Amino acid sequence: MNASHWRLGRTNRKRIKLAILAASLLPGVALAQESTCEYAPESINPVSNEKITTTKWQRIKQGDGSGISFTRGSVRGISEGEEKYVGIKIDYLRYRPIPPELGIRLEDTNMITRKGIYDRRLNAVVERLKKVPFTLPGGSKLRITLEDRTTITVMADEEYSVLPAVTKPQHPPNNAEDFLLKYRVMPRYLLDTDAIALLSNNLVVSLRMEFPHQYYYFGHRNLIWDDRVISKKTMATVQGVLKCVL
Amino acid sequence: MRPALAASLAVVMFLTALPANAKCKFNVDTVHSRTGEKVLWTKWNTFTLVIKGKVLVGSGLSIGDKKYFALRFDRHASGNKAERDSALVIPANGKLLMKFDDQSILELHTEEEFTGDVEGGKSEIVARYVMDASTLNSLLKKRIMNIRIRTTGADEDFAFGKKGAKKMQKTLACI
Repeated sequence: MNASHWRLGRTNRKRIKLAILAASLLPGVALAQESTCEYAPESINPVSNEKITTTKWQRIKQGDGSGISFTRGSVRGISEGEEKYVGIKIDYLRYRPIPPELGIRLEDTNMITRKGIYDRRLNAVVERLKKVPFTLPGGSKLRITLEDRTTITVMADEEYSVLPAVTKPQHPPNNAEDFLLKYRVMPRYLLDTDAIALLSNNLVVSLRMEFPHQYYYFGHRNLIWDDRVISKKTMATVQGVLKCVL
Repeated sequence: MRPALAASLAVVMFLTALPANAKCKFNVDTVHSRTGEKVLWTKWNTFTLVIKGKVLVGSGLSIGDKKYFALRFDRHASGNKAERDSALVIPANGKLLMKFDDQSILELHTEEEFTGDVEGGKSEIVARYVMDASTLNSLLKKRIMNIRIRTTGADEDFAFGKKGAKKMQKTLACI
């Protein structure tokens, strides 16, 4: 055999180097994919004594393209013993008008006194509103639509009652801005074996959260012929957190 | 077969197949999550004449061997949540009546109940009507004039224009 057969050209040497580099990176890539599972500190259910593993919240947001209307929230996967859950975090907003007593009689006093009186009354209203709870009943539904457009309906495992963070009206007392009550609701929905099997192998394309008076949708259409779907990025986020616990 | 000949044959086959497939656009092209059957859902299309702001959009759906005519439309929904939730419901075995230019009427049915999604004072429904081979054949050949959809409330009527009727046939031909 001629020795020249064993001599590699510059191009071939480059190819081999690239192949070695790629091969050495493969385990790293695999690890990187696994390491996308970010977990919150583990906890223990004080009643059942079972370990609770929870992924970190991952933001999901879906607009209708207009930049005005969108739903914003977060999703996480939860594993408690044998049971698996999907958790959703959403800010449920309510508005309360300025009570009439805040504006009345203020005109009778001088500016400094008015400001003092107004602030005191405003704070009293804020303290009152901070005690107004919002309750998401146990059994509230979460509808999950898969890529083939079939749906799974899962339910909130218990009642969730939360108190609001209250934002005062911005420019009192002359404008009509309301008090803003922001309720951070974080229900978890129990996944049965059917849901676990389906969610393990299929992408989620939209979510519908049922609240007592309305629905929240993750997945909008901005044109009439579009389907109601979340973005590809959001699909991957939802699948990512679920895969970490299923 | 020589590789060069096989490659050129493949290119020819691809090019001849391209014009037919290019017209078919699908929102869903996947497998069924439970049965593993092929699921094809064409892009939504507006087939009907937009009268008084009411719009009906349609799509052809194929799940394995089964074919469906899917329709989407909305209705004003007011009142409390329960009233809004029930503002637009198409029952199981709900009728869809289609009138053709030869005055014949074709009847399709739903297999299950469909309930509208409520958002922003509207309830929007997506309903599927099953089609057998002869029904699909009629829809591909005859010109459709009107559609009447039976819901739990009032019936919903929609009129088709010439263009819309042709668009519907092209869409259904994709499944």
